Amino acid sequence: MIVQTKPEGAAIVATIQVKEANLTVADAFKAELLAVIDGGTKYLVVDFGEVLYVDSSFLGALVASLKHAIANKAEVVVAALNKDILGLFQLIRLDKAFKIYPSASEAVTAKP
Amino acid sequence: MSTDAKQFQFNNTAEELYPLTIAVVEFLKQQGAGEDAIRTIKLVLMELLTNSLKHCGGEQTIVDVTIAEGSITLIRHDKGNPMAINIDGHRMEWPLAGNHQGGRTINIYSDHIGLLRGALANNRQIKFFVEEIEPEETDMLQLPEHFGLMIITRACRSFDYEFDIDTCTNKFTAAIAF
Repeated sequence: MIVQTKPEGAAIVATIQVKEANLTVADAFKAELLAVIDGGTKYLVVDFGEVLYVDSSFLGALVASLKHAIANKAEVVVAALNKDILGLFQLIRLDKAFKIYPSASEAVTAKP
Repeated sequence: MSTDAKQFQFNNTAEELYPLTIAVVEFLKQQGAGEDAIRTIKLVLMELLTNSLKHCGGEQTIVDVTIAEGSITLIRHDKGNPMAINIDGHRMEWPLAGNHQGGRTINIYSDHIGLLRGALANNRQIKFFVEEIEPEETDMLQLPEHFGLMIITRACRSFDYEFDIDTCTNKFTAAIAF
């Protein structure tokens, strides 16, 4: 399992369990997020708190999950990005595509 | 002019990705690289190594790290598969066919705020660059899912690729402001 999921009110928090979020886990990560979205959740918080770095393959999987969520009228937000990961999101402007929260609990509280 | 350089070896295994990146970072810290430069180097090196792992074909990859005159330069060499890019269903593989390629500019892919382009010096060399797009409104369903070349190009002062015909070597050169 790449993510551990936990219901928090009307949200699902998916905490990434790996420190190295790279191409070796990207496909499994995508499959797990798609399964959560297909399960009917409308607000998915992806918690990066345990992650040291992400690569482009992993980001591609995250974006594919976002598109799947949009098609299912659901929302994917991200939380607890370290400075390196936040910098990467900003570099390729993914900060315009995802809502970013300092922590998973703040993301849950912010659910519209 | 002072120059510091070190060579690193990558055997194209996923287990080496992070330790090698940290080894390069430690070397650059010893040379006085600051936090911003280190953050950029991590991004760029990780993508260069990931690209090698995906496409190189198992050959050994060498990374030369050089610091000189305000730049950190990463040069990735390998004798694996040459670079190939799919553009609109058309596959371009280096070295490109024909000698008429110099001076052409190709569109590689676009995302919601930028167009990744390549300027061809000849049939062996390409220099990547990004043209910014003013987004009207981001269409999430049109977001790309491949970011590797875009990340490196955006992060670097310059980024280019060359296929050496004599030695059949791929060479990616990324220069980052120091």
